[in-house]
Amino acid sequence: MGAERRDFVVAGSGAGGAAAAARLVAGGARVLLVEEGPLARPAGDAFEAVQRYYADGGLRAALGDGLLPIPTGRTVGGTTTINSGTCLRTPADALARWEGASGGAFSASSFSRLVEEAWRALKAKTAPAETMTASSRLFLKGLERLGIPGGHNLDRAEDGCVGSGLCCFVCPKDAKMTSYKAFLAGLEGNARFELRSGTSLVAVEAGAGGVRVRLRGGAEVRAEGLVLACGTTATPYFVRKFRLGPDWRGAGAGLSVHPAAKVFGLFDEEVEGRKGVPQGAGVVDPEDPAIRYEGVYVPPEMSAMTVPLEGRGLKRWMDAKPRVATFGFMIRDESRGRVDHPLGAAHPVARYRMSPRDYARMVRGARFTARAFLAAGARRVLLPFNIEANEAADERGLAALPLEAAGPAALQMMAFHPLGTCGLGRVAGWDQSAGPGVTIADGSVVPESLGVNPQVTIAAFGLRAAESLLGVRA
Amino acid sequence: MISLACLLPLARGYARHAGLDDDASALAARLRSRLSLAPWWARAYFGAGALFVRFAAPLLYLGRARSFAGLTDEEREELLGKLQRDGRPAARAAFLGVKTMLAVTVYGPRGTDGR
Ligand SMILES: Cc1cc2nc3c(=O)[nH]c(=O)nc-3n(C[C@H](O)[C@H](O)[C@H](O)COP(=O)(O)OP(=O)(O)OC[C@H]3O[C@@H](n4cnc5c(N)ncnc54)[C@H](O)[C@@H]3O)c2cc1C
Ligand code: SF4
Repeated sequence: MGAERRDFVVAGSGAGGAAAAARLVAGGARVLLVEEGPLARPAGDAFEAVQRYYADGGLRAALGDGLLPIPTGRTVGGTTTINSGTCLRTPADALARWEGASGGAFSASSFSRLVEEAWRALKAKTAPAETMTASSRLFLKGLERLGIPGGHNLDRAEDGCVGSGLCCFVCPKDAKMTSYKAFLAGLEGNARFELRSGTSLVAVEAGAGGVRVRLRGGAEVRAEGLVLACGTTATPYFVRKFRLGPDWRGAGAGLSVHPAAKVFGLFDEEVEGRKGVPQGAGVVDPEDPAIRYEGVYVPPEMSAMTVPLEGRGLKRWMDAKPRVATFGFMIRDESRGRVDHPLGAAHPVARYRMSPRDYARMVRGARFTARAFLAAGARRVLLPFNIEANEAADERGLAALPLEAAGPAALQMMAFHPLGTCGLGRVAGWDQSAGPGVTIADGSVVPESLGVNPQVTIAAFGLRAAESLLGVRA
Repeated sequence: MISLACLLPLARGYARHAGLDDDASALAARLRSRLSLAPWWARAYFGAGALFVRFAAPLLYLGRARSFAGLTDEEREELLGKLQRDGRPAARAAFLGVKTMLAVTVYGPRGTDGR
């Protein structure tokens, strides 16, 4: 059977791939978008959603100081289908740095225009006060009592959100603006566009004459160009394996992850965790802008596994669940890890060790969140450290917890935002190219730890990749 | 399902230890349905983790050549605490999967946050 023909093949339908595909189709190109995962439907409960729509059933993790889970989506819409929907613009200082480092090949003002386009496509808007969770209200109340300004409702990608608390487990109301809804839903029926879900890219041959890609099942497609958007943990596999671009050897290194953790607070009143938008509110640390605090909620069927206790201690907190509030934090990390693929693209092996400065930030983040809960009236707080003394009933008890000595291996943390494994100017060119015919458009190109939730930035990189391909074509 | 056979006795002991004396057949049905959602390699991982906690961990962490079921309440409490607090990657990897299954099966249905 001969190879199929398209103008462009896009691999991966997440934040970057969906935006790139839509812009290429709008520019008149014939596009095949291949996505390894299936189309998502609301699941019976959170555990089922994780098994069906998270890569490796949610068990993907980096080895290092301990075990650092890296949840990523494996479904149409990629990780945006199981994310919290929070929207933040690319920080201006990062844009200025990239412009400077690129010698002008990266234009901050052009990129800002694309960020605004992504913002509009995602229908980003401020979460209304009435959809705020009780956890967020308590955290903001604590900040107010401590005299800390800046607590605010976050902007979110949604259209008709009713605050049902399940953003990370496939929105049951189809209200969250995933990259599928924002960029692809409108292309259904367009003759120039085909979405093939449940199909993965397996091999790439690229040269000056175009690309030839092989898909799982054996189908071959020839095209002018390939947009690699398989996500930060998979894209470097293709770059290294098929030696894409002059700097393919560096692919996989440079992994930043925004380490994140959460604090539990036990209150007298009922908290009714799931009512509201899980990540509806946030604040930047008043003394260290590298730390951001953002709301979080884990449904009951999943919450026991996130509590840093076992046996009777775990039971105590689970019995009190209706009165337990949670709030999270993440840091802009300076530590870097790497991803390798001894078992193929679908089975990345990630390694990540945390620097002492990042660890100090995690400790500060945990204490800050716990202080806010205590100020809001929490009877007890539980901090994300797997050590014996991880609970406190007041400020003095909190100060006495031996967190500084515990070390990163004791941290109960997660990595929701892997970035940088094919960073611009290091592996990908500043125009996002990886050799002739191949362009990268996902979190892997973000050249540094961003410090803000990255979906808007990644979508802007998707649009930029498409514009550059269409420009070359013209 | 081999993984079910490995996990079920541990899930029963784990629930009983926490004072959650569940109907054994309901617990088995929940565990079976949870496991059925996971791919084969994850089921193998969960099952191996369960064997580790049941038979190897008491010796490694407490120096007792007994199974999880043969430990006293205090010993079980100490063992679970040590497993939770062991930050070494291999130990974490061994306990993470099995804790995932135990937590979702034993505590999962107890959610009382309004859904
Ligand atoms: C629980 C959670 C909550 C989050 N919340 C937020 C938030 O509130 N705001 C925010 O800005 N960010 C959030 N993020 C992060 C954000 O969603 C991701 O950073 C972003 O979606 C990454 O985009 P991407 O294009 O790089 O990759 P992804 O969105 O991960 O998409 C990659 C896609 O490629 C597919 N793929 C992989 N290999 C292949 C292959 N060989 N062939 C074909 N397809 C392949 C995958 O199945 C996947 O669908 C969250 C992340 C998580 C895990
Ligand atoms: S809070 Fe509920 S309705 Fe709103 S986006 Fe999240 S899951 Fe959907």
